Amino acid sequence: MRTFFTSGSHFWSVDGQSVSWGASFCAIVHACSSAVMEAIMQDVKTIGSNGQISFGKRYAGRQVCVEEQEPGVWLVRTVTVIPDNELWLNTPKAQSDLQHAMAWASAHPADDTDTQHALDQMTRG
Amino acid sequence: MGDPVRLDLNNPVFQENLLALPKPERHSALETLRKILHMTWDQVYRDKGLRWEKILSVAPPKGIAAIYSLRITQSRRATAYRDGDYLRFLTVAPDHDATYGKK
Repeated sequence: MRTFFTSGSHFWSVDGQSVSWGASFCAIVHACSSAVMEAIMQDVKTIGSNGQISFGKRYAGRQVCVEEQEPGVWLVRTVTVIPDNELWLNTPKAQSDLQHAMAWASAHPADDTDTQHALDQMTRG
Repeated sequence: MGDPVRLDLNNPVFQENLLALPKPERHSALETLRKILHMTWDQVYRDKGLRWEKILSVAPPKGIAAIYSLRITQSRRATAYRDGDYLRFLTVAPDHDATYGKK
């Protein structure tokens, strides 16, 4: 277990290595017996004058659901929005068919040589 | 955009889905395909019967910009995408009652 203590805007580990950050940063680090370090990072952010904070570019473009669980406490979860008229596409068979179809299309160039013949064949069938 | 549409119906999944339709529906779908064969891309985009719509809930693979759905019969949609002048069909909806949220 590494122990951290603070001095102003710097955090120091007991082995003398400095972990310093421009903004205040709190790290809780625990070490397993196999020496795999797992860091649980809590980042303190400042809400801007327009009421916004940033989650970084990793989540850019994602939609989120924000629940205010109590004043000043929010749960933020990424969500995938499915329009009502696309629900049909999100069944197992429709998804499977679409994935297979896209894979086939990616591997075969577009071609309309047999289009008229295909239409005639499918009309007769 | 007066580019004529070129139909690519070769996808085996699309053909299987189409042939699995009840005969009256299959003929209705084939009539739609024959109609599209004489359209330009601009007409496809604007046609109130086809209702060409971008699919938001499925991410296309690399090399395909976006997947779209269009109405192929009165109550059933198909998926497709544009590849140059080609309209490449991918699948047909398996259950027409679900297509418009009736189930």
